[in-house]
Amino acid sequence: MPAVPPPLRLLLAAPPTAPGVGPLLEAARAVAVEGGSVAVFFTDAGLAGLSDASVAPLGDAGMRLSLCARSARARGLDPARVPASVTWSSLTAFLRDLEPGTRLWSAFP
Amino acid sequence: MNRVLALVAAPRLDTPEATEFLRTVAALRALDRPVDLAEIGRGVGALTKDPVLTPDGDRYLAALAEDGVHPRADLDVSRAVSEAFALLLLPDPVRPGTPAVLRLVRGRALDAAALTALGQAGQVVIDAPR
Repeated sequence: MPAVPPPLRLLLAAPPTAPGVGPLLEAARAVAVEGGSVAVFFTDAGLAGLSDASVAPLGDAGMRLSLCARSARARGLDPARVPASVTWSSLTAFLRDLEPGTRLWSAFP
Repeated sequence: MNRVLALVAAPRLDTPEATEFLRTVAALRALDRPVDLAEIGRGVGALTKDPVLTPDGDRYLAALAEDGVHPRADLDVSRAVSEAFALLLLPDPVRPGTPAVLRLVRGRALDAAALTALGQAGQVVIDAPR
């Protein structure tokens, strides 16, 4: 039986069109499919990903999705356009209490 | 091994992207994570020589300085990667994006090829050894 991958937290501050973001999300999804715990945090330019077709499969794969409420307010994000599977949160909440062995990935534009 | 390595490869920092990057670095430091902040590629000098930031970016850089984090242009990046559990990279906006994702391995120093790829990749992460 293959080992469960170590936990992964992905801070997404880049839009889906930025170099490498699509493959990075795919790599994160693969971790979730293998049974690993994966959390994705959308912030700043990364909030554009919430309206992208690539987001729905992330929730379906069991990944925990959250967004930066501060960034969302600053960008005038319409709450009605935020998928119900995405939790409103904060940068500090996402970064605190990382379990030992957790991988922290990030993507900037 | 709980250090965070934050690398600036972008030449301009008076941007929303740079501000968000510095906010993230400052948040990690505020959570008591040891942080190394350094410049690479076209980012050399962007923080260490009269940085031009947004007002919020200025605040985050000042907060980092108060917490003992000062940007460096001469950091041994290969060694710093080997000692880091996570990498935050503010990439060069005109990078080739190849490879799409460069997955470095925690605990391993970079060879010359990986150091070059660091500045060219779409995104760069530190992975757990398998």
